[in-house]
Amino acid sequence: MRERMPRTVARSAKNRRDLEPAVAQFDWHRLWPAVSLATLLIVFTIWWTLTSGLKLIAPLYFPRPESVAGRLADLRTVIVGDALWTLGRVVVSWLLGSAMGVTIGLLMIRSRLAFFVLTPLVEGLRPVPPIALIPFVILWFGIGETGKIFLAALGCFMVMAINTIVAARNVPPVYLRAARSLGASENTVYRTVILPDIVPQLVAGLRIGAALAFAVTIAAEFMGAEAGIGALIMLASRTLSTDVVLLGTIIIGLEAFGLEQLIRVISDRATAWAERSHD
Amino acid sequence: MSEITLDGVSKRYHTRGSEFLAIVETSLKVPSEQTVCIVGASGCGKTTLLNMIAGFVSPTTGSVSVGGQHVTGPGADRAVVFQADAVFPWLTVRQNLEYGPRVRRLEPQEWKPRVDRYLAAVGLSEFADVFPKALSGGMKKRVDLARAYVNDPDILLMDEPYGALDVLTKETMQTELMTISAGERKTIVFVTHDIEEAIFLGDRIVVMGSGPGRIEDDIPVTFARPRTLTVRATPEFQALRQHIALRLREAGGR
Repeated sequence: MRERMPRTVARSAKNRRDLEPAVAQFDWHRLWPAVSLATLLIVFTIWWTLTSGLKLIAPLYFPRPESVAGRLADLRTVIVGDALWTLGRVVVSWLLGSAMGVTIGLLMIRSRLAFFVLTPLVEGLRPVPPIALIPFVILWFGIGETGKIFLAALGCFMVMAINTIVAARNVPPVYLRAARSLGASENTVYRTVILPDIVPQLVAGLRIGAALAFAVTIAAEFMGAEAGIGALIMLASRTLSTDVVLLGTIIIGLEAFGLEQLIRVISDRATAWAERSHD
Repeated sequence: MSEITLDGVSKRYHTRGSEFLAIVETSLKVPSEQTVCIVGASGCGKTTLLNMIAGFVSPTTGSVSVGGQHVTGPGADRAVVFQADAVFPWLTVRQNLEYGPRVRRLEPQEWKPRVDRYLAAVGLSEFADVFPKALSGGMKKRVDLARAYVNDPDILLMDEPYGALDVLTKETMQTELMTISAGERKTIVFVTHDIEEAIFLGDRIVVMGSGPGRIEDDIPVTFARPRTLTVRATPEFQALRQHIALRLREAGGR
């Protein structure tokens, strides 16, 4: 044993040298997403085992994968419509609210008057979950699109306004001084220094806002909507069709994941200049 | 035309009830195209003096004027190179150099050739289209200097620009500044605590004392230009260095 070890080591070292070109070409980091995929597979296996396999959980409390898949097949045309309605509401309110948030945030940084006038409103409304305003929104706008978009947009607005203010305050003063002594006017400094410098933080706000927009939109759809995943879930829960409820939540997850990937691609382009410690 | 005049300026800071006199009545005249180096210990107010010329802070008493014009704020006639990294990270090297002329809405044919010229002068032509995160500290300082020159100011204000660099890089930067400033003469105010740097670059050295900040001495430097680093080895250079070091020690003794 003791005698053999050095030889084994020597041989493997030699082999490694022989293999080096091929080994160097394979990038092991490409395997990391497979780990995430494995997690999903494990969760699915546990789900199937507990419900279908061992039948430890009754279908009412947690539906079986087969019945969820069956519902998807039955309802596919309806569900595609519901998914698109929800996604549409989310994207519209998210873009609208975020754009307003950045604009108002910059205005509050630019003008002291705007800051002191708007601070009590922003700070007062910020801790209020938009969902709490649903009764008012139904009274004001009815159960149409306006109210739903208003609520989700309000959530995104708050996130982005606060993000913008905090980020703009942290712009290194040396950039502002450099810009001014190169001939930039005050308005130009806002457009050419503050706005580009805070883009990474704005992107972070956009991500939080997107998740919030989903949460608020679904909740608003619970209160009544012609179509939408929230309406679908609400309807299904009245008949205890838990398989449809689960199907709805899976679809929300997939939509949110898709939007997140899109934001990631755009943000990588927009912040290519920024230094990162983690990729 | 680009003469700098400080006339009896003082600067008093108020912080939570207590007062702090950063600079006591100080007067200084820097003629056009002269390079004056301001040396002094940390906290002697040399940066405050520079910031008053730049228009970032206003004096409590007295006045600052540039080319006969009263200074009321920052302006494109006075470029500043800071110790901290002031290169805009969201712009490429070339876009950084173009920043000044662009925000001033100058005609591109006026400044496009200057951008290429100064990219070459600081040896960054190859890096024109990269973001600053790919550059070393010394390279970023070169971008800073080139950006200032492209904007063609009358006055260049430099606030310990090479204070954070290693000795070798620092010497390279000093030689480059010597060459570039010989090509296009500017009035330069260079703040530093490095005596050798001051003698090498300056036509004149202003020694500042602290507590409160004031000008202690004003010494002409007569070595012929353009200078090379070998000038540092001459006995005259070393004698001047000794003299200024002594004056600085006396000035700090209060």
